[in-house]
Amino acid sequence: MLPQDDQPQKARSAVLPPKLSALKARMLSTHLHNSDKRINFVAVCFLGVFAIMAGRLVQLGFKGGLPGGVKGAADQELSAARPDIVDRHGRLLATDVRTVSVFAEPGKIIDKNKVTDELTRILSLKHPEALRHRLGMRKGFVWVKRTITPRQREEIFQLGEPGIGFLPDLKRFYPNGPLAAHVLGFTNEDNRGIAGIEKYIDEQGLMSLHGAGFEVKHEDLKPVKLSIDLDVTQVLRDELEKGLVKFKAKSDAGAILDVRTGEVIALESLPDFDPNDPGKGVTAVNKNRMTAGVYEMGSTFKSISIAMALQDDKVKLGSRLDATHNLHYGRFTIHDYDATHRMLTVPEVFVHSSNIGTARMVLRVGVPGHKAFLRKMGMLTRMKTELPESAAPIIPHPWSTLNSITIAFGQGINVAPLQAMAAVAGLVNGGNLMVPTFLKRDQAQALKVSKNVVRPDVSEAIRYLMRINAEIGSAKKANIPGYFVGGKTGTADKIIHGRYANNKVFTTFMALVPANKPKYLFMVIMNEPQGLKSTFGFHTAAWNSGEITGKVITRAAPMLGLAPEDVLPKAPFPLLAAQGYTYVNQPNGGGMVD
Amino acid sequence: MLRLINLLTVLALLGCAAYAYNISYITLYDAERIHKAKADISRQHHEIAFLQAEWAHLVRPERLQALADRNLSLQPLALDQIVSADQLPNKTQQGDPLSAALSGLGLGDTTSSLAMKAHSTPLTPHDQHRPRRKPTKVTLAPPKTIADLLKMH
Repeated sequence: MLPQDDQPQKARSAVLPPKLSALKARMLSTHLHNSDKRINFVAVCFLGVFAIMAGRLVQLGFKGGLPGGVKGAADQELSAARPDIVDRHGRLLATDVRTVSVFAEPGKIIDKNKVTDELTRILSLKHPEALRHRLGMRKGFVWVKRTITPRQREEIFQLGEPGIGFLPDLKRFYPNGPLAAHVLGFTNEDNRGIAGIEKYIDEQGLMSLHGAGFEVKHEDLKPVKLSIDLDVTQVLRDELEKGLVKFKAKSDAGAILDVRTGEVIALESLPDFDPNDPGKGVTAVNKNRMTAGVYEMGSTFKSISIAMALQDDKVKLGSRLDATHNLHYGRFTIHDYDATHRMLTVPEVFVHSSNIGTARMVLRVGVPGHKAFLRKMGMLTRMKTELPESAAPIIPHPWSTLNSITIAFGQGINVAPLQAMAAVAGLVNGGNLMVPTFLKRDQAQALKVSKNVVRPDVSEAIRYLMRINAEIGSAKKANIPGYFVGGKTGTADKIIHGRYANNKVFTTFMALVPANKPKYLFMVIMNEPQGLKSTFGFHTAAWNSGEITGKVITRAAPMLGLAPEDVLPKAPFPLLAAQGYTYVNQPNGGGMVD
Repeated sequence: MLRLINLLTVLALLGCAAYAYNISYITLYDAERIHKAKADISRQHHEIAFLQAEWAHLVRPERLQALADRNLSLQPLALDQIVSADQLPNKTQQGDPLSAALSGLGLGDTTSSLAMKAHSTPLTPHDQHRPRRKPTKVTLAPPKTIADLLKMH
């Protein structure tokens, strides 16, 4: 049968040329043994195509960031939304505003030089070469400029360049400019906190959300409420600024602390910066001197020494200390700035700011007791508030008796001014030491995190000492009538090349309002204030820091809800009176101090 | 019979399909509207935030203090100006010279001029020592807008 079937084929092939007919026979043959090659051919074709596709996929997978990934790249680059920051009364301190930023896809730009020139003209860029470099990068997405004006946007749009695009972006805005700048800090171009409370907010987990790809909307974020009072801060900054000019000081700073809650009501340090345009950011010149600088506090430290001696029952309020002669220790001599050459009671030691008297009290306590008390007061360790800018105190090592003697009157130990404020606030508020906070809180919350450091009667004694110092001592300039102010000055000679230079001073002033029921502690520090004609050439604390503090109290106290009283409180210091010191409740300490 | 059932089934199917498509399109339409509304809300939020920022910038204490110093004839509050209510003196009988003069002319005491007089007496004890300054018209430089402030460095 087979040969018969082959018959017609043979007949046809006879018509065609023999070579072609053989090929055709092979191609068109439906025999299985003939189609093997065709199947192989198709299979190879498919294999080739799939191999190319697979290869491309692998290539894409490795490369990433191709023009197709612009959206993804932009998402990573775009500013994260941040919560508003408001003051204690809800007034806006920092917010996000929506702006437009312009980006480029270098791969899509053909004439890079022309585009660079045009963009430089429109955006008035200072460094066109930097832009040229960015446009030359092999990246799918580069920023040209963050935050442009609507006019610039229109002009760039008119260029019609396909490789240039716009994205809505967020920009941090500080409506009050430099006011409270050191507290707020600032952000970088990507809206990430770099300093101050802004950095603190980021550390609370906001940025990890953004990093993980969650889109956080601005309106979903709860505002961060600070303890700061905007108006009071303005008063403080205004007076510090005037003081800086008047006393030709290098820098000055100040803060107001609520001693009941440990809240910082205002904090300013000059020179400062505008967080909207931080420029070089925080440098040694404009750093936050209240928390990130450490200084010798001078006589304001005496409050701590006296509180320690009273707490340890080494002295009583009426105890007399020998200030008849200078105190000699080894080859060192301790003398008084305003020497009295007689026996002094504790209030007299404070009012005359006797170094000898205070040193004798600390000597009664001894070095280990002194160290232990200072550690309890938080003077020997770095104080950590919400602000990331902090400085560790400089303490003597090793700590000899001589160190204790000088530290008694605030020399030989450098602490951050806010740290010293916290200690004094803890002493006067009934003995509850608390770390200051920049976030709003109430008294109950504050007492939970506070630590009891001195007895209530010791606390009252310190208040009495500060009060009498304001009445008849060095703090008279801050004794604003009607507020029952207490205060203490401190003047430390600055150390220049390892020696105390008495023509360059660092002055501190602390004032308590009111001294009977303490509410606010004011502090002003000045770096190298000059003596003026109006201060009779004096550059000690009472004349400069004291005067500024007085002005701040006058303006800020009514804002803080304190009304001036036209009569003195009847029995301001009941615990001391109960101990037999009845004179403390009489004006001018009943003449017990002269 | 079977034909009728088939016909009904086909009709029912068509009806269902039409209904389902209708629902689907309405949903799509509503979803789009919701999306638009959300976008709108978001835009409004941003606009509100912008206006709040601008307002906060305009009423910043530093600017208000400068404006008040320049344009108001008020003095800073002195502490002795704060008194409690019981410290306020009782109203004294000052008499009313104008109404006396009017009644002297036989015009009768129809209106009291005290209310008008109140304006001429100084508001505060401090003002007595100071000539009343007329609020001077000062043309202010246009306030910096946020756009200016946001100009990059």
